[in-house]
Amino acid sequence: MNKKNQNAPVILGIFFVVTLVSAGVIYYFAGDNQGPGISMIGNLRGYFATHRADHGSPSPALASFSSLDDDYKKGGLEKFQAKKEELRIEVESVLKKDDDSPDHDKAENIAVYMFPDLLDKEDFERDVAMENWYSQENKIEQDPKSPESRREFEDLKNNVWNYENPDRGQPTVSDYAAQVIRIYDAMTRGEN
Amino acid sequence: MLLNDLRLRHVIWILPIGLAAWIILNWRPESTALPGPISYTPSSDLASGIPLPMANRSRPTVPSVFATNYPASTRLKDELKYARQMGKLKPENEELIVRVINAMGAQYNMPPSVLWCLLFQESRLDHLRGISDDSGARGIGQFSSFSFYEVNHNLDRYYSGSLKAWIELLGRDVRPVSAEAKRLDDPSSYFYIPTAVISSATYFNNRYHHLGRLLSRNRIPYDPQLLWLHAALAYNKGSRSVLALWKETHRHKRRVSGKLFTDRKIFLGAVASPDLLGRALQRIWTPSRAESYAKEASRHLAIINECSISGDKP
Repeated sequence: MNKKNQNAPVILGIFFVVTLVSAGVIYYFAGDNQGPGISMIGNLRGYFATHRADHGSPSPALASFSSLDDDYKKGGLEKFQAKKEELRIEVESVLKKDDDSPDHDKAENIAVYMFPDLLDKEDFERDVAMENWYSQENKIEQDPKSPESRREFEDLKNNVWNYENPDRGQPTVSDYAAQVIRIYDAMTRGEN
Repeated sequence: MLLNDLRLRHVIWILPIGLAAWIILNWRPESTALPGPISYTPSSDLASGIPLPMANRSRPTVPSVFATNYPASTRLKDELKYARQMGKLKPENEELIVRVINAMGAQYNMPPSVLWCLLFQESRLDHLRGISDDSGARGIGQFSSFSFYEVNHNLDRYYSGSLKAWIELLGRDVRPVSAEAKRLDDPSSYFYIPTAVISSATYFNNRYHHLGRLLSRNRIPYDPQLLWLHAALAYNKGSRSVLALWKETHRHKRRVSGKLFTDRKIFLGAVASPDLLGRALQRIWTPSRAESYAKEASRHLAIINECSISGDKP
């Protein structure tokens, strides 16, 4: 065995330890523990905290938003409405805290698309949501699968896209908007 | 006698209830727009028969900040000159675009310079841009399927005079408008220049009236000229980006939040600020996307400002 091959396990070991320690540091600073006052690492912690706000939430009830479409597909309107009511209670409770946390941002985004009546009366988005998709959502839930509900869905979908799309070259909407579109799309498609 | 008493009793109840219902149904928030110009369009530029807008006629007026000669900056003038020289903008198309822009300016009391600059920024006035692209944005105003939906299904939702303007300028209701690439001279095609300019102007005007209505409902005074720049941002980045900025400013910079609607420098500064628009978009998007959208928004608005407002250098 030549010298290069003899060193390979040592190099692999060092690489393994460095990776493990880095992962530990990142995990520590991304968590809710207060890190030391080093600005660079503080920024790193801020990045992960914000990033986490967009892709998941420590609150399991708010996380249930992302499975509402499956709840409808598997359990029908009744299960969907029960889960939606649970989510509404959680969103209301988070919004009442009036803080600047990632959970608050998530709750506000969910409220914009599902519970605009929970938003502050002075919130500009409340009126937009009430007029452009909330009434359509209610009509769809009253009579899902009907031809009329599909027309309401088309209106809802296009209004959401017109309201949110920030890139005319590569049209896109946020995860929150996309999820609401998925839910009401499933609810207004013809009988399975 | 008893019957008369019953009727009288009903009348006593019905009258106030009816009056309350009438007030609720007819109540509209009073506009909080501050005085603005009576018209942005020089009367010599108007197509014959188009009346001056009635809005604000009885109110005090202020001079327009928008350039009558646009693009306003030398840099963009050079870019336009280059497009002409390279044959990317044919004289007959350019003339038609400007004529329809002025007509729409008169119909919607919209500054023609902002509309021109918005379309120049979106497509370099190339009315055939993206003609063979089935999924992306197309034409002079970079319309997508949902923009078509709005003009085809909700034309009068934000401004009640849209259909009237369409009929006056196109002779009839040409909807549904679509990206019909095979019939470029069909008035229902978005690749037909007058229809493209009218559809884009309507979509832009809708953003303006929607934002104005939200401010009036919240009793927030606004400069009607500055609101066109808010609307230009909403056209390109979605109304949600604009409202996110308004909310963020209200949350963290209450001292300046009112000035966002009356002071152009403060508005431009807020759009360029990572702490305001950047932070606002991070509440909706991942940090990398938020940063990218915020940068694009700031660049877009700076160009519209430079292009449409007299004496503003980049």
